[in-house]
Amino acid sequence: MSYEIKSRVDLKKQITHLVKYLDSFVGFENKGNEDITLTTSSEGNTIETQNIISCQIVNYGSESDKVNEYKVFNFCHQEKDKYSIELLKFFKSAKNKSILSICKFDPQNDDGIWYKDRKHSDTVQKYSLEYMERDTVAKYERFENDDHCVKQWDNWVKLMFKIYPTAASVFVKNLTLPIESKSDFNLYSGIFLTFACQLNFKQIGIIGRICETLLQEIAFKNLIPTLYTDMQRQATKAAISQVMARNMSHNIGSHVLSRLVTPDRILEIINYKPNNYER
Amino acid sequence: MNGNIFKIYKSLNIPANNELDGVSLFSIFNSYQKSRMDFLADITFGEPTLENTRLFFSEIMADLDKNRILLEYISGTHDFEFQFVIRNVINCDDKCKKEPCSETCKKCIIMDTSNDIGVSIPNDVLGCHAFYLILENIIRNCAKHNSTFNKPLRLYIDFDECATEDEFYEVKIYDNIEKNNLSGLIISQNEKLNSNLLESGKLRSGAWGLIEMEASAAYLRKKPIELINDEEFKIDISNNQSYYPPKKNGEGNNQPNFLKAIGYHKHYGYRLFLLKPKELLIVISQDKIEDINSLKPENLARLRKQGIKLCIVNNENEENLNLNNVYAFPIMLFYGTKADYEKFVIPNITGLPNRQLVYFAGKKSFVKSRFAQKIEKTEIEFILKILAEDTPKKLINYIWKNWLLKQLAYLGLKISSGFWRSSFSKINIEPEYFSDQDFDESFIVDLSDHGISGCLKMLNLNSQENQNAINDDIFAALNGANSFNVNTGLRNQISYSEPYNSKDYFLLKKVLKNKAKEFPDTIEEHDFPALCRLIEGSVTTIYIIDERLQELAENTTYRPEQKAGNTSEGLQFTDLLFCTNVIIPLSGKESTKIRRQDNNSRKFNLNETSFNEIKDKTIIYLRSLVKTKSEKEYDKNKADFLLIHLGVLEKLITATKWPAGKDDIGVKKFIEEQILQNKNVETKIIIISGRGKPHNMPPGYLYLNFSIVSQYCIENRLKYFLNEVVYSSKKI
Repeated sequence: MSYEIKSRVDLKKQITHLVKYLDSFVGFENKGNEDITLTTSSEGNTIETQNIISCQIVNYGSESDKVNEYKVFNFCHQEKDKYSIELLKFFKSAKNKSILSICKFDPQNDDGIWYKDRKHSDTVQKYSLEYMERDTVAKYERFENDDHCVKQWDNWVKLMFKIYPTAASVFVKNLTLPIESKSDFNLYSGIFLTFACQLNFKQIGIIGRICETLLQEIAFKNLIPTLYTDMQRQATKAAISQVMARNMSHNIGSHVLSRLVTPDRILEIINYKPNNYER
Repeated sequence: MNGNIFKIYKSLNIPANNELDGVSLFSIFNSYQKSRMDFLADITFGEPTLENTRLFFSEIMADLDKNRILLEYISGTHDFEFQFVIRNVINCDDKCKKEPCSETCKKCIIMDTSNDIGVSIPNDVLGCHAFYLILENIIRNCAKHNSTFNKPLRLYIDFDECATEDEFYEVKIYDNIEKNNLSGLIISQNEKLNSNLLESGKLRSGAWGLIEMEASAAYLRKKPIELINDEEFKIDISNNQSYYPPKKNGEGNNQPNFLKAIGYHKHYGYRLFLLKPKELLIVISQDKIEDINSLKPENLARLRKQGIKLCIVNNENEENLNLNNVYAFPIMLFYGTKADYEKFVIPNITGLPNRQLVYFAGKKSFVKSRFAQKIEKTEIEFILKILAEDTPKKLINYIWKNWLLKQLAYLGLKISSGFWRSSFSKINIEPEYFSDQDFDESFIVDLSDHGISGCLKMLNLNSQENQNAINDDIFAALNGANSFNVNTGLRNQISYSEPYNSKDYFLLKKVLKNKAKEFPDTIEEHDFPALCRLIEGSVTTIYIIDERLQELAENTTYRPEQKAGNTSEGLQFTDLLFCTNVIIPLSGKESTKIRRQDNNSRKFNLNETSFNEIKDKTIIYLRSLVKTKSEKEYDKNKADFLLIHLGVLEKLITATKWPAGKDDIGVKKFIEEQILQNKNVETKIIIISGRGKPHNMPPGYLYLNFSIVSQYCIENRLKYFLNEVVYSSKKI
C-alpha cells in the first residue's frame, strides 16, 4: 500500500490527505476541516499541522523478516525509494536489538520516543544507551549493535534534513505490541515525523501519545486478522508436532525399541545369520 | 515372531537382501531412526525445498524392506505377516485399473527396474520417511483391526495418472481383505480427516494416526502441514471418487485432498498424491516466445506430464518466473536475453537448478561457468526442433547429453570412444546424439567388475592379503590420460575410483550392466539421464566440513566380502570418499592409507569444543577451497560444492569474536567476508544442519539436512546419490 503526496507546496492539503487516508484505514476521526490540528487539552502545546512536513508509518512483525513483506506506508514525496531503503535499514538493525532494548530500559517508560533537533544534530542523544552502558558489561555485545543502530538513525536523520530543508526537528515513535498467546511474536509499528519547528518536551510527550494511539489502531486493524490466521496455523502445526512426537514414541518406542532392550535379545539379533531363520 | 528366535520377514521379493546379517540389521535400524528424527524436525519446522527423483520400488521400498527389525515389530502383533505389491497401472487397460489386487498382469506389477516408476521426493531420505510413516500406520491399523485373513496380508500400492493434475501420480494403498459395508467406515474416517485438530483451542482426542498420515501426505506434496485443516483441502465425503472439496458456489482455490479414505470395490484403503519427477525447466524471454508458438496446448500438457515446465519471463501470467519461488528441477535451459538472465535468474540463483544451459540471443558475451554452460545457436535450434516434434523424452536426453559433454569440455575432458562403444554399445539413442566428433581417446571411463582387489591396485594399496578378496563389487573409475599406468596412490593420477556395492543399487546395476543375469543388459532410453549423472558425479569435487562426518568417516571401514581366512583391514571411509572426490579434512587422530597433498594433508579436529586454537588455519583452509570466477584454469582440488556444518561456522564466529554476531545476517557476513573474501565465487556453498530450519540460516544460501548428507557418505555411501543431492540443494 502506498500513499503519495502530490504537491509539496500545499502542506495543509497534504496533511488532510494523510489524515483522510488514515481515516479510511484506521478509523481516525476526520473533523472535515482542512486545518487538522494534532492537539490535546493541554493549552499551549498545540502543534499546527503546517508545522508537520512529513509523516511515515511502518508496520512489521517479527516473523515477517523478508524485506518484501514489510508493510511500508511511505508518505514521502521525493527520494521515495532511497528513503524507504534507509528506513528499512534502520528497522532491520533496530528490530531485534536496540529498539527493544530501549523500550525495555527506558527509565521513563516512554516507549521508544526518539527526538532530535537540527540544532543538536551533531550530537547523538542516546539516553537509554547510556543506561545500558553503565548497567552491565553483559550488555556490551548488544551495545555494539546499538551503536550501529544509532549510526543508522543518524543517517536517517541526516537524510530527512536533506530532503526537507525546512525541517527543524525529526521525531520517531516506536511501538511494540507483544502478543501474549504467541510469545515469540511481536508487532512493531513506527511513525516518523519531521517538523518545521523545534519541539519542547511537553510537545514531544503529546505527539508521542497521539502517535501511540494511532499506531495501535493501525496495528490492530490491519495486522490482527492476518495474525489470527497465522496463530491458528501455528497452533495446528504445534498440534501436529505433538501428535507426531507421541506417535513415534508409541509406534517405534513402545513396539519396536521396547523389544530391543535386553542383552539377550540384542545378541540374538546380532548373531542372526542370513537365510537361517527366514520365513 | 515367537519371542525366542529372531526371524526375518521380507516385505518385498528382493533376493539380494537375503545377505543382511544381524549387525547390518542393527545399523540399518539405527540409521532409519536417525533419519526419522530428522524428518520430524524437518516436518515441524519448515517446508521442504529440495526435490529429487527416486525409483519407487528399487530405491524407496527396497530401503524400507532392508529394515527387517522395524518390519518385524511395527505391527505390534504376533505373527503378523504382510507383503507389499506395487502396481503401475498407468499404461494398463481398464481391466487392471478397475480390478484391485490383480497380480496377473506382468506389465503393471513392479518387481525390478524394468517397469519401475520414478517419483519426485521432497528432501530425499526425509521425504521417504513421510511415505514410510504412512505405511507404518497402515500396517499397524491392519494388524489391529483385522482378526482373520489369509497370511501373508498383501498391501497393494497402485500408481495411476491423476486425472486432473498433470504434476501428480494418484496413489492408492489398500489391503487384500474384502469387507462388507465399507461405506460407514469410509465416511467415518473421512469425517475424522475433515474434522479440526483443535477443539476449543486444544488438541482433539483420538484419530491421531490419521493426523500424522495426512501431515506426511502434505509434506510429500511440499505443502505446509498446517494446511491439512484448511477448507481448500477438505474431503468431499459424499463422493468416493472426487479429488476435491465439495464445491461451494464454484468459488475458492480448491486443491486435491492430501489424504482420503476410499473404498476400492470391497477393499478399504487410502488415496494420496505423489509428485511426478521434475525433469527440465525451460525459461524463455518474452521476446523469444514466438519461437515456441508452434506448441499447441496439448503439447504443453504433454510436456507438463513428462516433468517439463515452461516459464516465460517478463510475463504477467502464472507461468511467470517468480523470484521468490524455488524451482526444484534437476536442470534448466535458459533461452533469452542477457538482461533477462541477469534480472530474473541471477537474483534467485539458489532457488533455481544448479545445472544451467544458457543461450543468449544476439552476440552478448557469456562468462563460462561450471554451473552455467553456454550452448550454441545450432544446438538451441535443434532443441526447438525437438520441442516442436513433441518428443519430451528425446528432448530430456539431448539436454543431458549436451550438459554432460559441456561439463567435461569445461574440465578439459572428452568421452573416450572405447568407453562408449565397449560398455554401452547397446544404447538406443539416435545417431545425432553422439556423433564421432564428441569422442576422444584422452578420457576413459571404466565401469566394470574389478572388485576390491582391482580397486586397491588402482590405489596402489595392493597387497597379498587383498588378492584373496572376492570380486563381488562393481568398480567404477574415471581416469585421466594414461592413468592405468599409475605407480602411486596419489589422487592426481586417478581422478575418481569407487567400489559400488552391486547388491543394493538397482538402477546402477542396470546402468552398469552388472553380471546379475536377471536384469536387462540394455540401457533403455529413460536411463540415459541417470548414466549422465553417474559420470557427472565422478567429476564433481565435494568438500565436507562437518565434525560428525569427520568422525564417522574415520571410524568406519569399508570391507568387501572376503574369503575365509582373509584378514584384509579394508579401507577407511575417509579414504574411500577421498577417492571419489568427496573430501573431509583429516582430524589427525586416525592414520589413513591414502596420501594427501597440499592443503588436503592439513589436519583439523572439528570436534574440538573450542576453535580458538584452530580458527586461523581453518579459515585459511576454507579460503583455499573456494574457486573464484576469475580463475581461468579449472583446479580439481578446489571445491565445486563446499558443505559446511552451521555449527562449525558458529564455532568459528565465536572463536574469532566476529562483531556481526551469530544471527542469520552475522553468519552470512562471516561467509562472505571471512571465507569468500567478498569475491565473486564459482564454488557453491551449502549449509548443512540437522536442526530443521535453523533460525540463523544465512539467507539466500543453499541448504541440506545432515541426514541426507550422512546417508550418502556413510550409511548408503555412493557418490552418485551424493552428487544428486548437492545438485538438487536449494535455498530454504
